Amino acid sequence: MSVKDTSKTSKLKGFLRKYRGYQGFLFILPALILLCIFCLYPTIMAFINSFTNWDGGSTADFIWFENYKNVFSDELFWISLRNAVILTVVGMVLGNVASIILAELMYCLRSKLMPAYRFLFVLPAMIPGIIVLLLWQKLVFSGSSSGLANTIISWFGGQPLEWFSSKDTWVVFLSIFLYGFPWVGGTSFLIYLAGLNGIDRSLIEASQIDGLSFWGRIFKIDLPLISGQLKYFLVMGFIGGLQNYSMQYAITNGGPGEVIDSMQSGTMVPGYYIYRLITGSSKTGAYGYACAMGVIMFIIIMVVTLVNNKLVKSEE
Amino acid sequence: MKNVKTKSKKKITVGQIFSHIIIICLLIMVLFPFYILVINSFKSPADILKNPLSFPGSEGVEVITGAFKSAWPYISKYILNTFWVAFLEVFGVLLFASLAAYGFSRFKFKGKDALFMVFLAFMMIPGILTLATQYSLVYSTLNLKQSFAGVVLPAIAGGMPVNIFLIKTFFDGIPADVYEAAEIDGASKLGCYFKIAIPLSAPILFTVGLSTLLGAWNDVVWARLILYGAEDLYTIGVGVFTVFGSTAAKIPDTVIYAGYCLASLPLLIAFFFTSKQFIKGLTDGAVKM
Repeated sequence: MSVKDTSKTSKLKGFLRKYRGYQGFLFILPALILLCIFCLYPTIMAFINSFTNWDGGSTADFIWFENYKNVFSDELFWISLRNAVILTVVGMVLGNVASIILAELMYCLRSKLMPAYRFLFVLPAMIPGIIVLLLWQKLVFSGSSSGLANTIISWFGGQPLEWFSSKDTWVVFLSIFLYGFPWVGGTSFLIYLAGLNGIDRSLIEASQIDGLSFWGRIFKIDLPLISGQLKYFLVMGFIGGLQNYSMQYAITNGGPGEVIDSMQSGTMVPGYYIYRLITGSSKTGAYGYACAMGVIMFIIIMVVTLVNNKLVKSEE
Repeated sequence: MKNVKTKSKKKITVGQIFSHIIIICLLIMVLFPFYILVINSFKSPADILKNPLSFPGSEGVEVITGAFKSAWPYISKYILNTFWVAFLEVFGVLLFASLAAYGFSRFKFKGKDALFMVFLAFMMIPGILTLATQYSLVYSTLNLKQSFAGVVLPAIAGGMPVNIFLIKTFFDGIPADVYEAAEIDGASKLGCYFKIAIPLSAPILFTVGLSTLLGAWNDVVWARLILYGAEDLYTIGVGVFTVFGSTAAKIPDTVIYAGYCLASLPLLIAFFFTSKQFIKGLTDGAVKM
């Protein structure tokens, strides 16, 4: 009897030992449930519904590749994709060049004022993004002659511009590019600065002894050694930039320019197109169409990310 | 020899002054829009129209404080709502992500690595892919429209992949001896989570909490989709954009600017007192990626 008992308990112990690792699963479970409901399910449904004429209601019929065919022949989609690429590339170049210049300046600086400068440059990151956007629209790029940008133009004898509310698409693009000038507020420069601070000082001293110029040092030593940070901003910049539509959402509404399908096309981007499709579009099957566009954007973003990773790796 | 030394020192000084000048110029340009915002919230609407760049004139105290008085009833409500949303998101992300990270870091079971890869894979899913389906799910199917739950739950779920990754990396760095010592003292796995993993990981938890806070503070699109119509629940972003932006409300410009100032204050004050931790927290996450 007692023999049987011990074998039973040892069996139980063995069972517990074998499955003790699965306790770990209990720790993961809450996160997994949340992920399944709010991320996995919507992702699967987005792929499925990209093949349907879903209009946001509870039923939908499969129309298979009809949505994809329509997206590829949709003039507004191509315009918006082109706009997103232009805005992303220009925005990334401006933002990163400015941040690297500021990081280099701070790196060269030997001063007790450094923490104060750092504090003040990060300060704008604490102000809600939408407020910064509206502030620039209302005060800097105000269409009236008393706006800050127009005041500066008038000092040089130029004509005031209407900026964001201009009928000329390129003026609106210019406003978006100039938004945030000189593009250094925030935290990006800190990440580059951390990279620069990681460079061995003796390397820079050696280069000075060898007579390497300031620019030579930046291009031959600094940039290659902060390639990790560059890669991070390259990858994140494309992922974020191709999806971004805060400017269209808060200010331009996709305008100006030709109206296609009751939407303005001038500064339209895919993210805002999708947003508009699900909020008050009269298009039949708008939700299914938005899902198909989302799938295409997903593929584009993934390919760009993989190419970026490969390019940066091969450079190393 | 001495001569050479002073020469190089002098050269550095010129370069240093040059750097200072450029940095200060950049700072002025970065901060100037915010400066105009502040001075305009102290002016009468007529003065703003006349010259938005002018310094506040000699108006009485009435005008100066009037804009802030009119803006406060709106903004105080928005700040409180934003505080709740941000608190729930930060708490939820920290709790669920650290629990899961602990599970991935301290346990061995079949399929664990595959499950971790599944979590990581969700970092690759862009928000615009799931916007339609997630909106339909939360708004209609789960009927969480016009509720904080509809804003907070998807944000917590969306924060899981990257934050589990960050926290797990940190947990992995805690030496196994520390856990073993506690287990010899009789601590359970859950006890180790509370007594060792969490207290030793304060820096990464701070970073994760901070980025979640900023995300909640800045969210407009999703919060507006869910909360639209329920003005009592508007967060700062939604309220400033929807109520202040509508021409129907006829809110004078100076009140709008005062509102912007008030809405920006909570985080600015927090930043003022803890800027060192803030800056470290903001950069740590990105550097660790």
